[in-house]
Amino acid sequence: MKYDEKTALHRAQKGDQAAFGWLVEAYQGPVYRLALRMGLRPEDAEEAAQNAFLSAWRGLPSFRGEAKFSTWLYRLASNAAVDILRREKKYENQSDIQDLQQSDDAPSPQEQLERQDTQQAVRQAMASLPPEFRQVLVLRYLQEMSYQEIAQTLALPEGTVKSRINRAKGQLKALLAESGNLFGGEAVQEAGKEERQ
Amino acid sequence: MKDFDKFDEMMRDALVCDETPSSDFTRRVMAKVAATPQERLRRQAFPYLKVAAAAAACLVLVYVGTLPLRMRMGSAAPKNQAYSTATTDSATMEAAPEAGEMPDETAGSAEDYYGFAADNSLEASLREESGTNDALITASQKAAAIGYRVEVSTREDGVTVCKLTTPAGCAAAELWLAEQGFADDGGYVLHAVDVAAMNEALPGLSLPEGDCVLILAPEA
Repeated sequence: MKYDEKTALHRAQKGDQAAFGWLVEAYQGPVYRLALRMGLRPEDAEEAAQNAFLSAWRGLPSFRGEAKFSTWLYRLASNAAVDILRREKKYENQSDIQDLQQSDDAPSPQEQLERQDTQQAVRQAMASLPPEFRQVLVLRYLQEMSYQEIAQTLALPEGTVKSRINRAKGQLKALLAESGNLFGGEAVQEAGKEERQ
Repeated sequence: MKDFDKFDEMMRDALVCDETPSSDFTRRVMAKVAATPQERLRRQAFPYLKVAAAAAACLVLVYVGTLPLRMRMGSAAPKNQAYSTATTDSATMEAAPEAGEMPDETAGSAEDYYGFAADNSLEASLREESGTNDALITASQKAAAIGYRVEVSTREDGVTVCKLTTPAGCAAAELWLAEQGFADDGGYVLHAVDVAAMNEALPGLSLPEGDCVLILAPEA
């Protein structure tokens, strides 16, 4: 059966599993990638995504549609990912974060290598950040959410989101500078300025 | 997202990916969904709780306020009769208690005197008035058992406020909230799923499960 999101949501809220299946199909990619980019290994990212969908299924009858379904689902997914990051000891001092295939616009081999190095360095540095910092960075840069949307997603004040992102970026820039992977020294100084502000 | 600088672009570039979960992901999720019941839609219980709490307070006030009157009414007939038969004995008359004082043992038990049995009728009547009051009673009892006191109220703007207090502060609840990434902004804005998760995470805690602002405070 074909649905649009509104119909599927409405039916799923009333217990229609087929309609919920449609929602799972529609959102499994973004939810899985969110968990993956928070630093989880693929098998754990699938577990986090599955937990998020199960939480959504259980809570759907009381979902009142004040936020978008996707916003609510991303919150469940990022919280599920944070839970796993805290639970699993293997994520302590993590440095071997998954290097995932990237889509490239055919740059030169040299450029491609440099770009891959930078991407790998950023992901490794992110893996050293606390789960709450990864959460806001992934929502900001992977899901491309505004501060307001992140605040809504995480049920946090907008000011808290802004300061958390600034602190996360500051730490990340410092880590990248330390490992010699940040473009010039000026970015570190900018990060310091942002934090002070 | 127009305000991306060079660093932001680098972040985007590093995070973008087009990975997908394994091909049987939906099937596995749906198998679990089939075995998982949806949460029952909860009634908006808090206004009823408020009414029940107000009714309880009124009943207590009425009960306490009318106690002397009912004592006088209950004791007037037998005492007057007793004193009228004793008018010849002035010594006894002087020693006799004033109307309104508790009768002695010979006048019968306190139960008979006040005209009702001590059977927790106040709590029983509260429970009858509002089934939803059970949720508050249960929440308060469970919270008390692990050292919390729960106060539920509704703010002027209609937002439900749950206040958790203990003599030493609410360290466990604060820790859990911090772990979830909640920031204290004069209170914690919790949705129903958060309250449910918190109840689950702190064994024994049973806050009424609905959207609310949670305030943690040491007991004044």
